[in-house]
Amino acid sequence: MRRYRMLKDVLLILLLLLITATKVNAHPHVWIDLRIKPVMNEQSALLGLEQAWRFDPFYSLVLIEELEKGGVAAELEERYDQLAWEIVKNLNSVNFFTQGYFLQAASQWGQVTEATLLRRGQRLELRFYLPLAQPLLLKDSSFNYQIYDPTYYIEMLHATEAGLDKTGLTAGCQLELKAPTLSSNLIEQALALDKTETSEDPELGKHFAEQVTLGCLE
Amino acid sequence: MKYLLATLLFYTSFLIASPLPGIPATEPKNEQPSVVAQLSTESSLVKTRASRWQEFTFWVMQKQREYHRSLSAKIEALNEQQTLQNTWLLLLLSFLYGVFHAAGPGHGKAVLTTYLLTQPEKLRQGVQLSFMAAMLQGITAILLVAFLVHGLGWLAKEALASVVYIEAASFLLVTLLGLLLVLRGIKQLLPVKPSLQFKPLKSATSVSSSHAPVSLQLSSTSLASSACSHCGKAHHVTPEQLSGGSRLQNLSLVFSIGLRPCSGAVLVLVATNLLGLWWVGVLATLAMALGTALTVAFLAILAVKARLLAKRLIKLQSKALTRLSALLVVLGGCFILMLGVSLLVESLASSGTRSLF
Repeated sequence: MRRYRMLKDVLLILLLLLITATKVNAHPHVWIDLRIKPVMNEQSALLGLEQAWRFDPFYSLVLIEELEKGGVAAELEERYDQLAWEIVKNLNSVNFFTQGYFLQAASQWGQVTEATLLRRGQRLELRFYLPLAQPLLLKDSSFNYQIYDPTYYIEMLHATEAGLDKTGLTAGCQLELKAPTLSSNLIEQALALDKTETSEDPELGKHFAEQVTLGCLE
Repeated sequence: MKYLLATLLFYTSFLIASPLPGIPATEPKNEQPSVVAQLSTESSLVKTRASRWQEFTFWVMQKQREYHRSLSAKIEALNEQQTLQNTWLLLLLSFLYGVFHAAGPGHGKAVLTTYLLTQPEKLRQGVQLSFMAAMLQGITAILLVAFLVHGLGWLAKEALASVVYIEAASFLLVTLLGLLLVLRGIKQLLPVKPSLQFKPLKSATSVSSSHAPVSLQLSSTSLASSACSHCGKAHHVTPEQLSGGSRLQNLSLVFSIGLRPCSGAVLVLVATNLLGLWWVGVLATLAMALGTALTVAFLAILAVKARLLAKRLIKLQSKALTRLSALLVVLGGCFILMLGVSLLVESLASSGTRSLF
């Protein structure tokens, strides 16, 4: 009887291994440290989000090599600019991975007119200003945003140091960051993610995203 | 073998007990404590609902993510300060990354365990096979990057993208292995049929439970040959066929797993090379492969043990063991075949589509 129990245990472990077998590399493969500065005017209206995305060291290294070997050294700066706008163009089609909510409606973004790609030591940083299509008056309601890659291939979290820049806020306004809360269902979904496939849940990355709330006292 | 098993168990329990052994100095600010803390409190809440298995897998995933981050932090540190201590820490980290990466879901383990569940391999062979496969995985990564980057002068980005094609080749081999198993299972089913009526009765009466340890040593190969001592003809055919087929199978097993370079290893190689630390990257990759081998070997031992146990139990009752094990080979082969085809289709469909932004 003891043998039966042992067999059952061993077989169970193996079965479980086989069930999850086809799901390769479940964790995110690239990460980005965010630094976000909400920009407001004196009337407590939110105008847009100033964003700085610092790519992880591995991805930065690979990009830096591509930039440096992509042509003559004298035109390096132009190549940085070119890449910055290329990324912005691509991000435009995915809403800049930035989902804003105000009065239960998704916020609309305007055109990005400022973007730069800089090298910070061994890491690359993309900076751009994402303006709201229309300024939002934060007197009656607060504004929320989440920044995430829906496929969760990229993990995007606010930098632990100075991830939130409060210098652009009107007096009486407050920023608050909430870490994601995960349920076991979501964990299961995350585990089912293949590194090359997008999840069944098109918003999987959302569940791993931080939520930032901007509210003003009146 | 017992010692090996004990060592493996010791290692795994050691690893599980200490989350980041020996690496307290890796930049804590990279660890994103907010999320991790949130997760651990949350996990205690959902503990009742979530199965232990889910928790374990998620824990492994979190570990992989952590190690992925600390690996890059360590390489950065090494770039700034090329000390012996930093090198050792990177190697240790790579080893642990290998252990955890292999503990997570992946096709290699599915293929290996299914194979070992259906094949008459002994414990030693199972461990050997898994070590060979895992080490080959590391060597593939090294050769790939050496050839593409040093030989052809490709950019790191291009080398990373090429992994997709080699993956496809490895999936093709998985399919082939499945096909081999199915064919062999069917072959096994056919010629043994006539002798089946006599053999199981005999073995059922002659083998009592006290003889079980002896029968434990018997693989289905020897079973088939003992069964066939009654019917001369199959006796000559089966064992040779089996060993000849086995070698081919074992080879395609090792290559179907080993051809697929670990994406983490390629990333580390490419990154260290860009920093002028190629040989550190090679050592780190080998350490990673060793870690992978350890986990995979542990799995292999589990698979072989399970099969032997099952065999022992079934033998005492069932009257059609040979047929059953052949059927198992066919089923296992089908599973591997389907796995290979689906991975292949998926990889061909998605190849080249994944680029950031």
